[in-house]
Amino acid sequence: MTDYILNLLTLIIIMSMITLCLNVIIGYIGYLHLGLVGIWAVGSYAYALMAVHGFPFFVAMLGGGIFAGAAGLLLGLPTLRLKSHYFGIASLGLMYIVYSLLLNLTDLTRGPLGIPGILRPTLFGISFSGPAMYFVLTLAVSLVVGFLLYRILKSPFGKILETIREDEIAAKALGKNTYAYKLQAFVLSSFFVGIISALSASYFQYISPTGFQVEQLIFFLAALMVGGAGSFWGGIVGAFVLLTIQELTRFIPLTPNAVGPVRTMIYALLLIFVMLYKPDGLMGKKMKVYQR
Amino acid sequence: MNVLQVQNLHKSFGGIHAIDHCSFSVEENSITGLIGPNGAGKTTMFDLINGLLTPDEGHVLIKNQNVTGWPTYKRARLGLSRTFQAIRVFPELTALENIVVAFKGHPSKLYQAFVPLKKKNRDLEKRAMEYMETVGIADKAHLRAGDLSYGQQKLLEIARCMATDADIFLLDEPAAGVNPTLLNTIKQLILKLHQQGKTLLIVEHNMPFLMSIAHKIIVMNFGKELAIGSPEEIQNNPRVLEAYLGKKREE
Repeated sequence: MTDYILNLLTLIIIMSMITLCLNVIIGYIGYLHLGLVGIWAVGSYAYALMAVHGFPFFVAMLGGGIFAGAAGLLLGLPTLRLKSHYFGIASLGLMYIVYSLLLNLTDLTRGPLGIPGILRPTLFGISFSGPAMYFVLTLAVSLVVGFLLYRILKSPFGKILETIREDEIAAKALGKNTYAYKLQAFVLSSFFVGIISALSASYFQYISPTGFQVEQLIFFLAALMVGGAGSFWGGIVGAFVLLTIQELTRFIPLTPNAVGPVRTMIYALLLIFVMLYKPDGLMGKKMKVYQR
Repeated sequence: MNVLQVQNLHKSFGGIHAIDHCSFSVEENSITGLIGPNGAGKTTMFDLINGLLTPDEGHVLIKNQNVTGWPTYKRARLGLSRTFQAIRVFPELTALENIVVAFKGHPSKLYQAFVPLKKKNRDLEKRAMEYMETVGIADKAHLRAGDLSYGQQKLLEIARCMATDADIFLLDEPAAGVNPTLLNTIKQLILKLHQQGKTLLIVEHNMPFLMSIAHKIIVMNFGKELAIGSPEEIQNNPRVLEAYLGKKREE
């Protein structure tokens, strides 16, 4: 039972950190970022391939961050000139591009077979493979990432990101190079998604292209909406709430083939309630994805 | 000296010539009015001057620099600021934050998130408070900017322009929709800016207001400059009367 709870907590922390990275884009600069899962996939595969080829854990983790950050840069350079909803469509494209690359670059990614046997690390002679130790590792890395993002988002730099969400034209008229800020925020967010990818890939110990699809994107978007975009704790709280509810459905006595639909229904109900009674999300802060 | 020049500027949207080979100039430390009937292209002209739109032909010169291809933020750094016809404050930020982010010395580089800035931020907030006092909304400093009244938001927008250290102000209808008391405040503010050596170009439909402060009036019609002169000259110009009131019927 303890193992079960520790595993669940580890998963919650990982997912909430990724939602936090999504919040940097959707909540702070106000751009509808639908390419998140593509970035996550790049980070995960970069980490997994480096890990199975024997790179040390932290090097592979940094590799995941750098590759994901580079993917973010490549996506951001042309698309961040678009307005928010056009950007949404363009970034969604990235997810599909990455997905087909993962399926078809079989020499590198083994295609649909995925990459099994991603071991959890042994650091300084201590094995982090057990649920308790892996929880500690996840928590430690996440605290560092969370602290860095907290500092950045609460800094004057973060304030400028918010002015872009509030009114990009006004920000430009005040002499802010909004494109440069957006690009920096995007690379930053992608880099940290890549870092967290190392934790998620090692957590599941297996990755395949099917793990990086619309379904996952919808989870992150829902988590952010429930938690509240634009507030630092929003994404974290949202991911926590959604995953907890998802786990609780396990204890409802249902026939196995009813579990999936029931879960989706509960998600939908929760989203409808949040939209009706707390449209800014649980942590509350108005969000304006669509730019004027 | 002309701090702002518009040379043969042209901008079409589809088949409509919003700005039709228009030229004028604005002298340093002057208050210049830009008037014209609705649809004459005044706001489009502002958008072209501050770079939100790029012209099809012609040039914009700020402080004798050809800035025609420059992005908006670079023009702003050259000392050009503007307010908008539909107010554009940052509604979710506090009024004070709205001004703090406008400062040139705002420490908003990414690495600056990791250096201690307490003192610097306090100084900036103090300076921002001074601007709030200048425009007379200091007591609203810690409210959400979106919760301020329409008039207060207008004042905040002007204060924000002042905080950028600009010396050219483009004001898009500063007197629209405000009560007489506030109108007077805005007028005093404009005169004060002028005393400080700033240059102002003002789009306005309130003629008594504009005529009482402007040194020069530029009249636009159908995207072209129709007449340029002192307020008195403009008031007696038959072509201007025609543009506003229509042609006298031939007897």
